[in-house]
Amino acid sequence: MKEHFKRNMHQYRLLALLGILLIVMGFLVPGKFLTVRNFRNMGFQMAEFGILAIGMSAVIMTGGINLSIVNSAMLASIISSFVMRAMYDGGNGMAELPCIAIGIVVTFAVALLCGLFNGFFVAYIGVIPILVTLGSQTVFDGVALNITRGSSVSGFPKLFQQIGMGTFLGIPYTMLVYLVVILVAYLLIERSYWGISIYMVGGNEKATRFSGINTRKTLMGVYVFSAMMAAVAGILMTSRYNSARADYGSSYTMQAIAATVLGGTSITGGSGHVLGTVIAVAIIQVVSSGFNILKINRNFTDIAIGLILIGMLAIKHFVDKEKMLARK
Amino acid sequence: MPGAESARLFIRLENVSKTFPGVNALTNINFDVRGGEIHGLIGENGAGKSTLIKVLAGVHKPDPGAVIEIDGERVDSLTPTESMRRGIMVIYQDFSLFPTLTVKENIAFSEQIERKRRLVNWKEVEEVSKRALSILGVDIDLNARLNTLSTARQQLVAIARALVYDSKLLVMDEPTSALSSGEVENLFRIMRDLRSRGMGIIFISHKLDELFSIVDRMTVLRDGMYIGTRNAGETDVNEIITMMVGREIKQEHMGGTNIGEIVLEVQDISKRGNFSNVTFNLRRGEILGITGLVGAGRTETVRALFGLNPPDSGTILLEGKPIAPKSPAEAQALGIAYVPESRQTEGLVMQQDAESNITLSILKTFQKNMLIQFPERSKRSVELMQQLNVKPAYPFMQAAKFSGGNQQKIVVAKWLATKPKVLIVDEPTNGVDVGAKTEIHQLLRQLADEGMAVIMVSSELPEILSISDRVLVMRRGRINGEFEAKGLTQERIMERAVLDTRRKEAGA
Amino acid sequence: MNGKLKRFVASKEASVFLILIVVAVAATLMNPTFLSFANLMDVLKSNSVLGICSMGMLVIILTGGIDASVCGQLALVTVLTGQLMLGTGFDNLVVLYILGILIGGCTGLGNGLMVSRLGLPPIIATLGTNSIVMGFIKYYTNGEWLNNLPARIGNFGLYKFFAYSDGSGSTIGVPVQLLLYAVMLVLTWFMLRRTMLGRSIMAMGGNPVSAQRIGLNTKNLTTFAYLFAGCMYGFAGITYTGIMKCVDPNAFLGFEMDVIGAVVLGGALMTGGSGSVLGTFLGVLLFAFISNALTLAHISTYWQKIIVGGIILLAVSFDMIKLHREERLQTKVDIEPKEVSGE
Repeated sequence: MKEHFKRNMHQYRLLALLGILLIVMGFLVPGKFLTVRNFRNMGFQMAEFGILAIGMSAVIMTGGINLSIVNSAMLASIISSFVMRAMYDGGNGMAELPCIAIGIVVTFAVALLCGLFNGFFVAYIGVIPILVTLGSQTVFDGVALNITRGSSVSGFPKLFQQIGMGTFLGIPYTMLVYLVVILVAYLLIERSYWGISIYMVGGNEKATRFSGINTRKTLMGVYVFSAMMAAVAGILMTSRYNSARADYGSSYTMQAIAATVLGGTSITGGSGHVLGTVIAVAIIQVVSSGFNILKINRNFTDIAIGLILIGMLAIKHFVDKEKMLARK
Repeated sequence: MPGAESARLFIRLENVSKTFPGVNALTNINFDVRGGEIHGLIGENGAGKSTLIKVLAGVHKPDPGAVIEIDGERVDSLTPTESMRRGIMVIYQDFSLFPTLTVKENIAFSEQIERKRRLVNWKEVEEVSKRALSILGVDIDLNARLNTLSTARQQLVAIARALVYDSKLLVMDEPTSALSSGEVENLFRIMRDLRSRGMGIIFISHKLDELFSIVDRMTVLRDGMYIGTRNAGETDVNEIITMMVGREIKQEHMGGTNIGEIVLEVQDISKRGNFSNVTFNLRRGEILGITGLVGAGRTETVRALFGLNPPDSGTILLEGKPIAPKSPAEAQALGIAYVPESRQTEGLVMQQDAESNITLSILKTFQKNMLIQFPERSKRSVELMQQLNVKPAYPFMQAAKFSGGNQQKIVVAKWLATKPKVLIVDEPTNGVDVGAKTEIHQLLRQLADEGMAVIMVSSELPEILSISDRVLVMRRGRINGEFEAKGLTQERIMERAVLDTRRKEAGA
Repeated sequence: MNGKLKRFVASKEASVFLILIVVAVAATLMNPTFLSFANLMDVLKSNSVLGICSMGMLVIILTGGIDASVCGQLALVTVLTGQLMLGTGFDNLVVLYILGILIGGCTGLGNGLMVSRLGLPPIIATLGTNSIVMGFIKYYTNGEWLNNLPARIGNFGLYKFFAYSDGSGSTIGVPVQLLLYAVMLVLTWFMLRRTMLGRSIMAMGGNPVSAQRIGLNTKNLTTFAYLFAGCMYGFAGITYTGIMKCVDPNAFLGFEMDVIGAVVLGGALMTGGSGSVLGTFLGVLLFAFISNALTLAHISTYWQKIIVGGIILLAVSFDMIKLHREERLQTKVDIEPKEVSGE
């Protein structure tokens, strides 16, 4: 029990922070923040961001980074949007359901290619992840712009919008998808063979390889996983906006990294928890939603997130330094 | 000892202690070096040699009460620059050179800093470095990038840098560990030459025979304490070893009791630039010691068996069937295990706990319905920790927090878990305290007696002699001698490690 | 001299140069306009900003760092100085350049302090800076362009040396940006090659531990690298406003990739300590030539993005494959020859 608490200390601290933030917000804007409506709104937005953050976390746990995660989400969405639009043909084509199903499959397929692309360069060629994903960001973005000429794509079946806008017993579908993703990600990352090997690779790739684990597969898997998360987030976003465009969600990259770091994943890899990231996502969502209700310009969210990220790491630096001194 | 002798003292340390929170790294050290002497500094790993060097280099500040006198002048606070200014130059094991700069800059760089130059005077750099290399009597391209040079040449560059600095005291930390015997001879020639020019040299080495062949005096440290200083002519290896370990080591041969049929046959394997025409076999219940100088190709050879360094030609038979592992995963599946030389970089994931490390090689077996069964995993890891007497037997403790010996046991445990047919250990007691060392030796012996086939690569001849059944001596990528361990002496091994015996035979 | 030549032929710069020539020949064969003086000058002019920024990035990469806040820093410089010009009609170029360098220097210094004093990984520190700065810029400008800047800045941007009219109404000459770029090239070269500061940065990038041991203040050196880069971006920002005659707060989105790409194409290693001004210059030229060749071949700018991104990925992959190969083939043991010779 004590062991459990010690290991998950950071997550409890985050939960406390989240609670305090909720209370503060409740006082600041009484009757507006702590409402069902606001929570439902947050639920709609949090899902896509949270899913991207989980995808980012897995990569960072191996000591890498995925700067093209949002671009792969958008590329996949754009291509599937074209497919869906063509097949639906404004109601003259295929029926809604199969059309949506094909759209979703296409999204996953394109995202898979994006993931394989990143994974190939990182795991099999050995190029550092920053360079790979910075490069693939340009490539994915270039392809997306090339297809759309910078404009947005729309014209999907009506039903498709339900994914991002609909509710079940008052709970947004997106929230349900998010919960399923959290569960699956938790099992995959913290309970599976592949997941354990992520932590080990992040800690010491060589020692892990020397222990008979195929670390290339682990790394490749991480970039594919990250792309799959991008695909889910892409579907939710496309549905919510009822369109797809190359520059949607561009600030999510930064936010996903911030949520990962805030959630307790070391940027050098080897540590972190899915739930930590999830709580951190909620904290960031509360801050940005609070800003929104307080009528603070939404661009201040970007500023606040940048400050949170730098602040967290700076605090960690000084705490680690203390600890080091104490141990010596 | 006042008078003429103390006048020649270059540096004198008295009462130097260094405590880090919780640890006494050095306790009341007294130590002095004269100009024009080579002074050996000896001690086991963790004896405090490197802390002492760092005090000399000004990196660590000694605790209050310490007296440091350089050239008869008392120095109150020694910073890195102050230390260098007063003529102390440390050549660390990694040389502390700059791989992407040219040779001439590496030699003259710190001197340019010393002169407080703002702009680089390239002419001066060229002249200074040329002069330094000519004192050493070696010819190295001044404009070559350092990382294109061999280790031995890089070391010469490091020494040249010390010369430029007009150093009066040169500290060399294990300078011979990466050199071939010819290169060692060359280094010693240069060291003697520098001594005759009046330079003091502190020479740190584990190799006692080397020490005796070059030093004038030697000082032994143990557990951060000063044990004593001896003139080289007035002592012998046994006395020094006794001083180092605190008691006479009994060397006992622990032979195998249960040697069975051949498990592994290595037939004429070669790999360019790694090893050549290596042939040997290994029996069940046997410990095969592989020794030789560093750089003789021992690690490269055993790594070939583990799939890390596949040979270009030749065959490997495991239980009569040819195998060609291409990765550790394949080797593991075949029943081959390898405990690498470096725990920190290759053996353990330091930030993870003992449990994750121990069970890493058998992680897949805990999978049920796609998920890892953690309770089972914990149970197994505790069992293994108890079996190997890992202390503390606490599976959730971070690997980094265990002592060296226990870390090593964790790595061995990781491989025992796979129940290998062939266990390869590479320098298994490197940086391990005496107690754990004995335990590891007994463990290896016990495993062999239980029917495992063990290959032990080691540079420590007493270790090789005490627990192996047979010994292979490698030299320059080839096997240069194979012996039964019983009755074998260190001298005979060294002879094969150092000399080209075939030449002798051909000449005879 | 012969040794020098040999070393150049074996160097990374030489292979970049070779590729550069191949691209130039291919481009010329495709469209002879490529090799015309006017076109080359145009290419250099439009890539001068990239070139100047790459000098800053090079110094950061030499320390083993990376800067993902090029976009934010350039936007901040151009927007703030642009606002000043618009608001007050101020048009003293020298003061504007000094202001630009000061603004860039401040953000660069912030990055440097975060990396060296707070121990933040460079990618995170600079991404954070970028997020903060871009948030501010978006809030401040609402994404709107700043037009109608004082005429002087635009005229300065059009200035050409040795200008002559080619008869069809347009003037040909050496654009002023080329001179500015050249000055920055020489300045950076001088700093890296001739000053102890520069050599210390090179040394630290190659081996930070040794650098500390010989008494270099690695924290200050790191801080300086980011400060230097910030100043370069400041200088580049004003130059850019001169070329465009207006300020677009979103003009530099994704520009960091171009800058990093040019430095990496020029042979610098991300691990630090390895890279040169000449190499980076060639990298910028290569980058510029490829883009220009694609334009002359009527390939859309979107495709250009893809191709340039792809080429950078290929270039770094090639480097890695070469490195792994060398590692694999490296002689670890000096094997004794089989035959006993000479006896």
